[in-house]
Amino acid sequence: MKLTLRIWRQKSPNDQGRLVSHQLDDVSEHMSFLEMLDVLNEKLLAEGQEPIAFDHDCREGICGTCSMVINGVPHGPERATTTCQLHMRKFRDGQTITVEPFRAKAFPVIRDLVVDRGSFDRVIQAGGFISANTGGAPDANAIPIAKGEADVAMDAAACIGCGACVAACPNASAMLFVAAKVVHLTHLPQGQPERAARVREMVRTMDAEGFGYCSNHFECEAVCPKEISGRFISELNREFRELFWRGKS
Amino acid sequence: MTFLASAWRSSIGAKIVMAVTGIVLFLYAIAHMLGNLQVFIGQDAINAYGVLLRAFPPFLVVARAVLLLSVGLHIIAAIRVTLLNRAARPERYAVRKAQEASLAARTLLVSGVLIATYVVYHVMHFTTRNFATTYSELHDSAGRHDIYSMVVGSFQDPIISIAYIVAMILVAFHLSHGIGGFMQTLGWTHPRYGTRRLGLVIATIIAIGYIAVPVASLLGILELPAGAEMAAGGH
Ligand code: FES
Repeated sequence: MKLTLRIWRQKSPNDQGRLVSHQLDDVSEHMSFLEMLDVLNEKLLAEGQEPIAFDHDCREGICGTCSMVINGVPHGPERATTTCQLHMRKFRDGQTITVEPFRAKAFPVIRDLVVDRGSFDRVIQAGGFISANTGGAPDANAIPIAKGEADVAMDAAACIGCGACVAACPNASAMLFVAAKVVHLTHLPQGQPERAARVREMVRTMDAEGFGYCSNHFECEAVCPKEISGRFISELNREFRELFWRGKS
Repeated sequence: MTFLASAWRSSIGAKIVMAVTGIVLFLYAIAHMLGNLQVFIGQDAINAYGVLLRAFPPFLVVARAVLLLSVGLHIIAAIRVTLLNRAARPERYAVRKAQEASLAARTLLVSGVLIATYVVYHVMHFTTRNFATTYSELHDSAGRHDIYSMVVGSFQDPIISIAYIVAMILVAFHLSHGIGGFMQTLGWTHPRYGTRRLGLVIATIIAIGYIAVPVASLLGILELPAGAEMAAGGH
């Protein structure tokens, strides 16, 4: 395949940044998107140019590191798929592909396609955890959990924290991420002691980090590589509403 | 009150204000539509309804106060949310492809501003009666304000009718996102049933209910009572 790649190049956080076109003539359709970028980087290095900085780690769709917006969609055109699991056969020969970093005030660009998602870590630190006694691991199934509850918790826990929801949201809102983390723990007995504080603190931190407000566009759900449901946002809203009525928001 | 203040500052709190005030206006839209539809029962029904609404003055005062407060808070929350959302994405994408967001959702602010503008015009026309008053000051045989003739007579003017129809389509457009939105924001959702389709259905019904009146007036299905034209000055 022949491809024209328009890729965001930005030297440093304060650099202006711009889209730069690169030509790639010999792309195999079996390559993953990241392998294609590897090939491009080899070529740039051979020509004595700076390679493109992009984030990646597991390359098997479980770590959520591979952040980029491909032709206007975070993680590219294939639904429920991370960039590292996206293959070049999803593109046409001769196609022009625009690659940009995730854009949000809370995800500042560090270099090229690499953004700082530390804001997500701070949201988790604010409440996305449970307190547990140390010591030997408890017996499996010692705490009974109803199947339905366990299923909801597992669906929410599928979130890999990649930030595509923020990147896709017209408002750069982190509601789907925060909702997934809250719902995951709210449906388990271990999540109960810190339930109210978790919602309050995670929402407060989310706001303080400069994410936008959800206005129910459901773009997040559409691009989520783990297909986290937008109804979890409704459930987070419900948790927040309870705090509000009890005067604890 | 501190929890109210902190709720207002929080993103979800602002959304709750948006949702609750939106519901007030949504319910008002339904009530107003049902009121209007009484023109199809006849002159007597709608004129009597007009008297009934004014029979207990405190009701009118409270209703208007609640509506004004809701409109005010809805607009303030909208401005605040919009500004914060713009700030949350300082750099735009060069290429952006919406996956799910409907046109109604993306143009909520535009439809909202247009509706607010129309409402001002509409109140000046029918409530405070500042202009287009040809049929506005008539009385029926029982001596009541003749709302029926005011409505039907006004809507026989195609310009007034078309402006009204366009405004009601905008209302439906705004509501088609708004209804699903307040249900999602207030957590009134069900794992199995979506809210988005529901919004579109209800909004369409409301639009039809409103638009029926000018359409029927234009088509002559609703007619001015005998003598109204004379009383209005022989048009
Ligand atoms: S690199 Fe780990 S999910 Fe893509």
